[in-house]
Amino acid sequence: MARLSFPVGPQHPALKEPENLRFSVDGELVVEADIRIGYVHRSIERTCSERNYVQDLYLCERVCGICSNAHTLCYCMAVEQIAEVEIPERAQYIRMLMHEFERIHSHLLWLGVAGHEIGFDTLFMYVWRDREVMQDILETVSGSRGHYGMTILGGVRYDITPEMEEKIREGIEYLRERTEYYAKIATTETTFIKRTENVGGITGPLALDLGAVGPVLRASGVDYDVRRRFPYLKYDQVEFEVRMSEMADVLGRTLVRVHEIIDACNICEQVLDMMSEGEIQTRFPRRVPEGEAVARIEAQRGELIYYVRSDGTDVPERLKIRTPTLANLPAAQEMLVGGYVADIPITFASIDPCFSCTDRMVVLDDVSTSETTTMTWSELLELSRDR
Amino acid sequence: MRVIELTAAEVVQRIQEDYEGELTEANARSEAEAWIGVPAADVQSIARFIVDTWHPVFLSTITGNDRGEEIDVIYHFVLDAVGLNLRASVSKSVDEIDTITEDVPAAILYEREINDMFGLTINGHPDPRRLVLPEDWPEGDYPLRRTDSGDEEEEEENG
Amino acid sequence: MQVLTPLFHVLVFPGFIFLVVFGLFASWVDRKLIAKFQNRVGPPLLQPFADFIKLLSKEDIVPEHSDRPMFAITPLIALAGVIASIVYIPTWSAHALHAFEVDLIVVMYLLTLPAFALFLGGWYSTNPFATLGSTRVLTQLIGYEVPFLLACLAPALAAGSWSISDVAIAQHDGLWLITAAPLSFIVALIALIGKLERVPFDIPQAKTEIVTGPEVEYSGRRLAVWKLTFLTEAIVGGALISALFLGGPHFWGIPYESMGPWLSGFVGMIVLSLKILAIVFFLALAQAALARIRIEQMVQWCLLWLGIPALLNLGLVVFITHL
Repeated sequence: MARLSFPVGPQHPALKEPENLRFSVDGELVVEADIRIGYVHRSIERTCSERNYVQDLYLCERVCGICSNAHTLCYCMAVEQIAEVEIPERAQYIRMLMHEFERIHSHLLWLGVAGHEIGFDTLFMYVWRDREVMQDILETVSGSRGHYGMTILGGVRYDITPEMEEKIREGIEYLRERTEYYAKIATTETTFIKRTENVGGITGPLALDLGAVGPVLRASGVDYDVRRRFPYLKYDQVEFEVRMSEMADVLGRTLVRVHEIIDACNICEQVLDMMSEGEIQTRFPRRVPEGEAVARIEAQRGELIYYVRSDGTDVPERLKIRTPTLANLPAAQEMLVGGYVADIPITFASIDPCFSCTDRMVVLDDVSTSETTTMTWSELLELSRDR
Repeated sequence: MRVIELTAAEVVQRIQEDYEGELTEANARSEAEAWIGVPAADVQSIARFIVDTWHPVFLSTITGNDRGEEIDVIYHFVLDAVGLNLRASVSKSVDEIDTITEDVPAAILYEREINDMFGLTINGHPDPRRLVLPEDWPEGDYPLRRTDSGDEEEEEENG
Repeated sequence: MQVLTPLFHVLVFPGFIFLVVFGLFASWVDRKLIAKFQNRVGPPLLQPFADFIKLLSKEDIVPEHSDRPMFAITPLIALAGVIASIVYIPTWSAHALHAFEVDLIVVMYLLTLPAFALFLGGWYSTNPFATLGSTRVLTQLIGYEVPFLLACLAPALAAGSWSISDVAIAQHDGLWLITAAPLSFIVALIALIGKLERVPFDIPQAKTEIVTGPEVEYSGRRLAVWKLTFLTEAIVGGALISALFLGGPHFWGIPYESMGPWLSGFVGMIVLSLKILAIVFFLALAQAALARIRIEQMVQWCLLWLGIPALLNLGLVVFITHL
């Protein structure tokens, strides 16, 4: 049979964001895969070097809707490192809590999407309903379900009250129980296993060479968790296991994520037990002294790294973001080739792709003159106000 | 859990002792963070040295930074539990750097991004297409490259 | 009157209107059940009707590079095939509207028409997703059609007739043929899921992979016809399985003989409808509990786990009837 070339995206039901994957298939087998990114490029890095440190905080939070807190956390860690500001202990614990809450909600979201990609919508419905528990907790703590705005330069915005603590403990208990149930489903449900076992495989050394991060890397048996390798906040004081799997396939990634949810629940409880009363903010200077810093954290999708260089003014000279999805793309390409067409959505979803993170420019085609025009920020603002 | 226990100071020391090329900077800022600088022409040899010495090596990303006369290219490696940041400054009059993808395949996307954003030619890159910029983006317009005069306003208009 | 009666049968009952209304109602039951299984509220009763009417009023687009006549006619052929087959299946009494000696084979043939029509419609719409989906339609056909045929032969052989009505009548003494061919019954039910392209066998449509496959270029009225084809095929398939295995309109303790023709017809229809809804319940349960499998897994699994039990049961029936 002749080779058929077909696109997945920029608009496709399996992708939640616009991105283009081109496949060359022979029957049901994928022969070639190419990933084209850049559809939602928003010039965030460039914009960051035109705004002051406080404004950048909000900008970084909007790199991604799902891992918004991870971005602010990483940004604050980098900037605080240059400014040599030590944040209060209680603020560190609250940051840890938010970090783990976000991991729980993001992994639950992923599990639901994975179910949907393989036509198992019941799992999707159940998981997303349970995820609401975490969303409620996040809303109670930060006042928002999406962009929490909790992490600020010099600490956190809100304190956790005893009432909140009670609600968190209740919710965590419930979620742990439910997640254990999902772990059981993932290991016993025949059709689920049929669709995930030996699908999208990649060996550990290859994944490491290609720079894969997070659950993708760990599911291939590589022990790389930033929380353990480069302990930040108070991660050297809590007990948790770096979850790994030797399966190196989609099922392995599922199990790693599901177990990480359970771990995150445990970490949250430990943190709540350890938390002491105290300040939650310190004063942060407007101007940051000259210097540079690299901050790494283990976001839910994998290692997130920020590089910030300051020239002594209130505006960073350079701010570089590398999101986990970008790092996982070469590995994803490797996984897709040689697989079945039917496995494209689940294999690609198994890296938990987030293109909003990966891309960051605005180009509009002027249809009347068919000229490409590049717009400045102010022109874009004007245009959006006109419409 | 760690296979080998390394500290940043040891990494810096090892490079200073065993690496034969020239180093423009070498210091350990903390136990887990080392900074090394090399001339831009030497990136391939230092990358090979790092990979050979501390295999397996993980590359987190490559940062580009326009410093006016030259463009800093910073490779962020992870060796065991040490973050090794390797800086190579490329003069704008040269405007090109060798690829390290032979030794570090993970660099493939990051080098394309550097090429997109700063207009640095990556010599020997296996797949030198654009990464994030659209196909119809004007040639010679690089979003993160400052113009020779360093005039921010002019840059703004270019995007 | 002589002209009007057949017309009434084809257009109203048990033909077009009955099938459409009951099909839409059954799809509401189906959606509501799945919603309940999935911890959701589900649609209101008239939602499928509203969806259907909305689709009819939508713009109907024919892709530029497609083969226009083939693209336009295939959904109609599919629907016609399904509706035509109802006249050979008992709906209100054990006697179908028309019955002759080998009508089982004719119905089997008519019920494969939607799959072939879907293949052609998808193939001639020249969309890569549709092309991929069309090849999957044919591949999947091999998987379910052979076991389905083998499964339906068992009751026919047990009753000693190739006419669906005769098979239904043979069960009137109270012994449903599910007792003689339990494996065949299960095989037929599972194969029906494949015929209807539902989870876990919704491989040719697979929304998250190939964007509904062959149907991807269809819109408006023609898409509505495709939707209708599969809704009515569920009813016809359910009626066929009820007639072959579950005694058709028969149920213990209902004295059809003592009732007038109208009342017995009405009660018979209600009984059959309930049996069809029971089959819809099974379909909904399968959809809620399972994930979509891959095409090569499906064909392999079906030929092994449906084909062999169906053959075993068929052999058993032959052995017993010739004893």
